Amino acid sequence: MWRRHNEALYLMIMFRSIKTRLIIFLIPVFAVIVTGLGFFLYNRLDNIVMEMVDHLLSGKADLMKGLVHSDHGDIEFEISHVTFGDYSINASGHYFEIADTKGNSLVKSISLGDHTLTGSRYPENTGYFMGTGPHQEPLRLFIDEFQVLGETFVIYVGEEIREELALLKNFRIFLLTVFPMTIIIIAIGSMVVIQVSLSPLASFSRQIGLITEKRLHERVDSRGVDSELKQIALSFNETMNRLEKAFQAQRDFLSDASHELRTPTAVIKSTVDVTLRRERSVVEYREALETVKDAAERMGGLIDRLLKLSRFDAEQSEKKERVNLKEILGTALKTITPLAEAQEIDMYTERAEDVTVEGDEDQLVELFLSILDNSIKYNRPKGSVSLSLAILDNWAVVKVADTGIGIAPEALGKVFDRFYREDMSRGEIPGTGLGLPIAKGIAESHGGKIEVESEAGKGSMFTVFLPLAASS
Amino acid sequence: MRILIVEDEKALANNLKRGLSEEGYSADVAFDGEEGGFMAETEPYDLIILDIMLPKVDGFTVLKNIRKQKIKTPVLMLTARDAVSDKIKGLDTGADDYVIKPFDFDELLARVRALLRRKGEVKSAVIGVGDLEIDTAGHQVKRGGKDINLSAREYALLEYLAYNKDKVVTRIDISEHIYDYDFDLDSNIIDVYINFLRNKIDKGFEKKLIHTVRGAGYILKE
Repeated sequence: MWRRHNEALYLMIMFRSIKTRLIIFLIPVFAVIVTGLGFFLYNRLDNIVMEMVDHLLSGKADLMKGLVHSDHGDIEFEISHVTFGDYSINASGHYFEIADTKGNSLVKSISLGDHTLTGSRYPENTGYFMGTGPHQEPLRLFIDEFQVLGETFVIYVGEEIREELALLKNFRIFLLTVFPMTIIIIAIGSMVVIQVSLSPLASFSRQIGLITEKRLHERVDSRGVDSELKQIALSFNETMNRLEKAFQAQRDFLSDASHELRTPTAVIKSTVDVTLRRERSVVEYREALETVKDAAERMGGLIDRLLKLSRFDAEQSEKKERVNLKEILGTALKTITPLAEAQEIDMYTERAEDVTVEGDEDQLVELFLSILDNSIKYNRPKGSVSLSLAILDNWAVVKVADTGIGIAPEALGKVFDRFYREDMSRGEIPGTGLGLPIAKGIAESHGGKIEVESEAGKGSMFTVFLPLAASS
Repeated sequence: MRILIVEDEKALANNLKRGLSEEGYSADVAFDGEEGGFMAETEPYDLIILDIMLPKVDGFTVLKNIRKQKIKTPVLMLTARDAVSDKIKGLDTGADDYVIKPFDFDELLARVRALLRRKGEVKSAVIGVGDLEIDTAGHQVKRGGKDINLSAREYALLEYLAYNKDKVVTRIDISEHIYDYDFDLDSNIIDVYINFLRNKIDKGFEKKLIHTVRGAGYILKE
C-alpha cells in the first residue's frame, strides 16, 4: 500500500520538477514544429519537381498538337511518321499518344510499344496525373483536349519520373532520419542547459540546509550566479537578515525576561532558605510569607505583561469597534487618579474634542493608563500632568505632558525598549519596564504610533497618534 | 568575619543580612552602588557580596574602583545576569566568585567560607590549632575530641582568631571584623569575650592557645 503511495509521490515529485516539466513541454512542441517543417519542406520540393515535369509535358503536348494538321479535309498525323528522338526508342521513358474522344488510339509513340496511355481518366479528366508506363514504371501524365477542323482529339503525353520520385524519396528518408535526431539533440541539449542553469539551486538548497537557528548568520553565496537566481539569493539573504534580527530580538527579550524573573525568584528562594534554617516565631514566619507573597505578585504581574506584549507582537488588534476616544481618556484618568493623588500630582485636561477611532476599548484604555502611569511615576512631587485630545489631518492626537525628571537625550530612543528603565532606577521607582513597550504595541496594532520629546529636568511629552475612524 | 552586601533589591538584601548574621557573620547592607563603593573603601570588610545591576553606580564599576584602591577584599558577585560574557567580565574585573540568582543559600554560605579561607593559610573548612578543631561549616568547636559550646559572639571571635592563627590581631581588627556598622565600639567588650573564650577553651588544658600580646592584641597559636 505504502509502496503505491510512494510511487504516486515519486511521480508527483517528478511532475513537480521544473526539469521534467520543461522537457515535457519542450519535446512535443519541438516535435510538432519539426514535423510540420518537414511536411512543408517535402511538399515544397514535391511541388517544385512536379511543376518542372509538368512544364516539360505541356510544352511537349503543344509541340505534338502542332504536328496534327489537315490535308485536303483529311486529318493527318504527321507525327506518326516521325520517328524522332527518344520517342522512337522502346521504353525510353518518353511517351505520347493521341486518341479520339471515345478513347480509340489514333497514333502513339514507338516507345510505348503495345502499351496504351488511354485509360479511364478521359473523358472525365484532363490535366496532370500519375500513371504507369509499359514497364510499370512511374509516369507523369498530361492529358489535354484539342481541336483540329472542328474535330476533338485527346493527347496524352507521359514522362517517366523514376529519378524525380527517387529524389523525393531520398529527401523523405533524409527528413525522417534527421528530424528525430534533431529532436533528440534538442532534448538532450535543453536538458543539459536546464541542468546547468538550475544547478545553483541545488547549491542554494545545500547552503540553506546548513542554516539552523544557531547558525542564522549563514548566507547563500550569490557571487557568480545568473541574474535570475541571484535575485532569489539576494532576497533570501535579505529575508534571513530580517529573520536574524527578529530572532536576536526574541532572544534578547527572552534573556531580559528571564533576568527580570530571576530577582523575584531569588527573593522567594532566599527567604525560604533562610527561614527554614531554624525554628522561627510565628511573627517571623508571617513576615517571610509576606515577603514571598510580594515577590510572587511581582512575578505574576511581570508574566502577565510579558504575555500581553507577546500577543501584540503576534497579531494585529482583532476587535474593531467605533469608540469615543474622549470617553476612553476619561476612563483612564479615573483609574489613575488615586495614584496621582497619592503623589500629589495635579492632573488636568487642556481640551478634548469628540473623536471617534476604531479599535479595542480595553486596549486603548491600557495604552493611556501606561503613559499616564509613567508621567505620574517620573514626575516631581506636586508636579502636574496635562492631557489634550485634538484632530490633526486624519489622526486623533493625544498629548500627555508632565513636569517630571525628563529623559536624557541619549535615553530618548530607548524608553520604548522592553525592560529599559532609565538609570536602571530599580528599587526607587516601582515598575516592570514594560508599560511603555505595551503602550507602543497597542498603538501600532491600531495603526498608530507614539512619539516622545523631553527636556531633562523639565518634563516629557508623549504624543499618541491614532487613525480616525472612517466617517460613516 | 564582616561582610558587605551591595544589593538594591531590599527583600533580598535583608534576607542575606539575616541569614549571614545567624551564621555568626556581621553584615552591612548598601542599597546602591555609590553607597556600596563608599563602604567598601572605608571599612575593612572580609568579603563583599556585590550585585551588578545597581542604581547610581553599577557593580562592575564599583568593583573596578575598589580594586583600583588596592583593596583586596574577596568579592562575590551575586547577580541575575547569567551570560557567560558577564561572568568573564566580572571575574576579569577582579571578582573572586560569581553566583547567579536565584541561588541556594547553603551553597552561598559554602562559597562565602571558601572565599574567607582563601586569604589566609587555611584551606579546609575545619581549622586546627593544636588539639583545637574549629569546623567553620557546622560551627562546631572541639578540643581534645570534646565538644565545646560557644555563644554566637564567642564563636565569631574564635573563628576570626582561627582564620588569622599564628598572627597577632589587634582589638581594633577584632571590633572591625566581627561587629557590624551599627556596633558602638567599646574595646572592653572584646576583653570580656576573650575571657569567656579562655574559660571555655584553655581552662583545664595544660597548653594555652589564646595568648595576650602586650600592647598589641591577641594571638591564637600552639
